[in-house]
Amino acid sequence: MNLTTQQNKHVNRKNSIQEILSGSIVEELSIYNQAYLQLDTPLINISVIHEKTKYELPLMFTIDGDFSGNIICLIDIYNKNLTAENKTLFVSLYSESMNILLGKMMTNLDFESGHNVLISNPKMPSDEMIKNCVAKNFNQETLSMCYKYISNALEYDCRIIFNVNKNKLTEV
Amino acid sequence: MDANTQYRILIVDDSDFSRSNISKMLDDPRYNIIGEAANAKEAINILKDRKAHLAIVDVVMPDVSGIELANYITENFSDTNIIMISSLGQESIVIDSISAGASDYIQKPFKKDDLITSVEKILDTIEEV
Repeated sequence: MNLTTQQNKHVNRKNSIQEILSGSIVEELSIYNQAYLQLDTPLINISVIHEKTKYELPLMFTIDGDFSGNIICLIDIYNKNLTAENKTLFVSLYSESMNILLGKMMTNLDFESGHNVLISNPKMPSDEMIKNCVAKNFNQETLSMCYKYISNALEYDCRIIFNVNKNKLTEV
Repeated sequence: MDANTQYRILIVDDSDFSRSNISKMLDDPRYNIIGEAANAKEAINILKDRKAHLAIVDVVMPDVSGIELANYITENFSDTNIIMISSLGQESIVIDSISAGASDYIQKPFKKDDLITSVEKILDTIEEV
């Protein structure tokens, strides 16, 4: 197999993961009328991940099944003046919102493409954990999408990064 | 059971928001929330102390899953009915939940009416016994 064929195969597979996941995306979602999610930027393959800022609150889910890897959610709370008490409530609603959004996405993934993927409960990762999760290697594919997260009349930017291990990808 | 019966309900979910939200949805004199547990261990400790007519159990939880907890409740607290809740709605999980002894499965996010309908349907079967 020459290099060009190998490259084409790699590109095709990349497109395939993106297409499979894109077909399951939830564009809008209300979380018990307390938060609202709206897709802002569609799912794209990325080669460079912008480093987490000090204003972004991280959440991490692991995924397992026909795809494995992890999903990192980063919500930007810059200039939102959250008090300690408000922040606790905010994080609790935000965590459940991401859990519901990604759960619906994995459910759609099963219905749309037959890929069965389970997500873990959300965890709050350290900056070091995030760096390790997004460490690029040839066996991992990274995709990103962004949502507007609206709660309590405030709008937040939320980016969601998928790190999918390609070695466990099964054709359905 | 008569109309004045208060049904004892346990809520098990690792999400603080979700437990509080369900508790608010079930704010009715007919329902007595006997406890809120963030994991299977807490849930079992509550059930050892207080009997529950119904446990509302999240599927994805740390350490012990909701399905494993449902199996344990079915084997050890057979009078406790179970409703499983989850953001995941794959058929395989629903089947596993029902096999573990759950009477119903509700996908998040759900409406208050959907939860009440499910709870009442299950509590009706207790009344019929």
